[in-house]
Amino acid sequence: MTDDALVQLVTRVVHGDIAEADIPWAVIDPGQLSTFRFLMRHETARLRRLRHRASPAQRRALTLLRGLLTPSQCATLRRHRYVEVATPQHLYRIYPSKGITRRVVRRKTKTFAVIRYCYHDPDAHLPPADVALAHFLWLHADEGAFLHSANAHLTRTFHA
Amino acid sequence: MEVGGRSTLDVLNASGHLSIAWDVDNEAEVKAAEEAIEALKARGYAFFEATGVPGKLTIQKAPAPSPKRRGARKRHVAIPPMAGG
Repeated sequence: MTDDALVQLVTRVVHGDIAEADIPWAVIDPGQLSTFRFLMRHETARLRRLRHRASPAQRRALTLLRGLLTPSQCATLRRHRYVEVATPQHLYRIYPSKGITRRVVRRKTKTFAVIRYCYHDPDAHLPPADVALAHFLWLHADEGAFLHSANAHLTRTFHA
Repeated sequence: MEVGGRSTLDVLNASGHLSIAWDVDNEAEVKAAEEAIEALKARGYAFFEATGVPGKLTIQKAPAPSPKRRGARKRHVAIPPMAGG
């Protein structure tokens, strides 16, 4: 299968033209499988981001969030698509496009995510930027309550 | 937030947010806002207030705003009950 055909196949699967159960595995060369999987992940994430960006609810939520940010946080959000919040104990990055928060640590010039926090509304189906705004407010107002209530997923372990 | 005597409470919801606005001097608006806030309290919403100007805000968890009270420039946000997922 040519690279172009592989990309077309990925696009059709991600857009729902071909069900995942109907993927013609036989026509994909074994050497192309990892590329196929990579493209599937990449295209799915890209499509999700585009859908959220286009959603009026997400845009309204982002407007509200930006109203609470400092100019520097707004610039970081524009450039890197996250908001950094520094509390006395920790440094966090909040991702309005995903509605998640990561605790990060800095080592020399690099920054590593160590814990990912999930804390969302079970009923209201808030857009991701609203979930991020809720994280932002909780971290500023009561970091302890946020850490107590959110589900923490360890992503990396550091030895000092 | 109070802008020229009007206060607003932003309620996070599936449409991004809903802004409830009222004028402290307008009895009908204050009553409607009180009813909306009572309903949010009953549903377990958490209330936050941001004091100051954009860029230099102090954010704290606060009791539900009282529409009748006149106060400093504040911005109120209500968030629905959340849980670790």
